[in-house]
Order: sequence, then structure tokens, then C-alpha cells
Amino acid sequence: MSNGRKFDSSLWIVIAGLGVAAILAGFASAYSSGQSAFFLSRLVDTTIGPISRRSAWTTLREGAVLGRAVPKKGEAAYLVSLRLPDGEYRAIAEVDGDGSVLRVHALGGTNSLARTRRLGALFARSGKSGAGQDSTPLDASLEPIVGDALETITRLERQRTEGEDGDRR
Amino acid sequence: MAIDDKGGAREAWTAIAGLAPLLVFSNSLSSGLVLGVAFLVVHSTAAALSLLLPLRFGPARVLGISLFGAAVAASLSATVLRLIDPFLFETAYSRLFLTVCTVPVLRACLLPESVAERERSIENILRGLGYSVVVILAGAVREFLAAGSISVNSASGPASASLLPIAAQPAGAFILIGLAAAAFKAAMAAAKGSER
Repeated sequence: MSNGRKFDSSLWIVIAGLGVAAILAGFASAYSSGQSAFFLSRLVDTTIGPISRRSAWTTLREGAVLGRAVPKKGEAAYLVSLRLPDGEYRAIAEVDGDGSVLRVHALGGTNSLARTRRLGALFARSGKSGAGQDSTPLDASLEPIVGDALETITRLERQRTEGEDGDRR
Repeated sequence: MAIDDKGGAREAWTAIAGLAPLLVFSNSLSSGLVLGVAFLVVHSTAAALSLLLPLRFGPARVLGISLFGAAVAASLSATVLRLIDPFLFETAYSRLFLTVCTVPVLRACLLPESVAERERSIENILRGLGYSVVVILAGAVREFLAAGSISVNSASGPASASLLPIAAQPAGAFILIGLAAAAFKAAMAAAKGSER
């Protein structure tokens, strides 16, 4: 029985190999995280324009909000992914200092189902420049998703601006 | 597979039922591809580790090491996906780690009990390929039923006529699994009848 419990050298080699693999996986994950941040901040900058925005990306993953791109000058923008059981709709929301959505830039949905498209339309008109008051039977189930996303954006932007104000003091 | 081999057919269906979490999340070709390829990587890693590790390590250590290796493989799959498509990563990253907890992967982590079973372990790796094809096909079929078209691109194309929107929802996955099981059983019964 005691022989079975002894650790032989090959087991230590396997454990060390797994440890090295886990460390390498960690480094690879950190690298891909940096590349992903670069891609997403560039996507926001090219969509909103001008490219000279050169915003800094922060991954948030709070509710529908994937992350935030903050330029040195200008308004912050939030990358939003509104999820449904059968797909999702992605958009960029530009916000002012108090977290109100100024403009929405649609990036499209993962499918062309009516629910996904309608969700996009509802979110697009949530901005101050948004227009259209038409309604469909789908709206009752989709409006809470849009409302939640807008509340999350407002809360996150207020937290950010309050944090910046606190730093200045 | 022999027609009267009920055990084998039942085992195959048990394994596919064990894939249910992946089949539920695989509601489009792009998500099916992501989950299918990740499953193949994770399953192959688990099966290869349990096959290559010496018998003297014992079942518990082999299970632990294989599961750890499978988790590292899932992490690497997520890393590659993040480099290829950050959006798809944000949608699917939590589901990629679900592959480690599926029944076929857990079974692949087990130490082969006999020498004969050990010699047949290569079949286990090939079985993983079959399961990943099932996950990809489920995604493609569900997307076609829901949206009337199939596209690898995760961004939406022009509006298309939706045939059966529920197919893209979780309930649709279970309905399709049930229908596929019924069709398989009917086909087996018909094949048995024609043999007599």
C-alpha cells in the first residue's frame, strides 16, 4: 500500500510539465487580452471617427456592456452587446459626462431574426439623436433589455467621471 | 456498428445526451464551430493524456492530471478565439470552459481499465471528432431552421425569412435532440425489420 502512495520522479515531471503549460497559457491569455483591447479600441475609434481619437480600452463585462473606450479628448464610448437567447445585437454608444447616450452606432447582430433587428432599432433610438416612435408587439419583451443596458451605461459613466473628479481633488 | 448492438447505440446516445450543454449553446454555425473545435481540442487532450500516462499513476491521479490538461487546452482554445474574433470570444468564452465538464470529456479522462481498452483508446480520440461534428452540425441546422440561411460570419446579413425561430432558442435544442433520437430509433427499428 505504501508503495502506491510514493511519488515517483515521472509524476513530478508530469506535474512540472502541466505547471509550465499553465504558465504559458496564462501568458498567451494576457497577450490575447492586449490584442483584443487594441482591436476593440480601434473598432470604436474607426466607427466614431476620427481615427486620431486613440482611446484607451477598459474591459468591463457588466450586463450588456462589454467595455469602454475613453479618448484623451472627447466623449467616452461604450461597446454594448445586447443578448437574446437566440442571438445578440452589438452597438457603440457615445455618452456625455452624466451618462446620457448621445449617439448610437450600430455594429449589427449575429443573425437576421426579427427580434434581433428590432432590438437594434430600439437601442438605436435610445440616443438623444434617435428618432422614431413606431412600435411592434415585440417591443414589450425587448424594451427591458434596452432599459437595463442604458442604466448600466449611465451608472458606469457616472462612476468613471466621479472617480476622475476624485482624483483631481 | 452492428444493428443488434443495443449497448453501443445506447452508449452513443448517452454520450450525445452528455453533450446537451454544448448542443444548447450551439445555435448558429459560428458558435457551433467555436464549441465544436474547442471540444475536439479539449477531448483529444484529455484522451491523449489518459492514454499516455503510465498505469502506475493510478486512476485518481490520471483523472486529475487529464482534467487539468483539458482545462489548460480549453484556456488555449479561448486564447486563440480571442485573437481571431474578440466579439465571438466575448460571447462564447464561458461556454468554452463548459466543454471540460461534459460527459464525453470526463469519460476520456478516465484511465483505461484493461490493456485491450488501452489499445482501443485511439478510437476514443476519433469519437471526439464525431462528437465535435455533431456540435457543429447542430449549430448549422438550428441556424438554418431559425433564420432560413447559414453563414460563418457572425455579423448579420440581409433579412431572411425565419422558418422556425424557436430552433435558435434553448428549447429548440432539446426538441431537435428528441426528434433526432426518435428518427434514429425508427431507423434502427426499420433496419431490424428489413433484416428479418
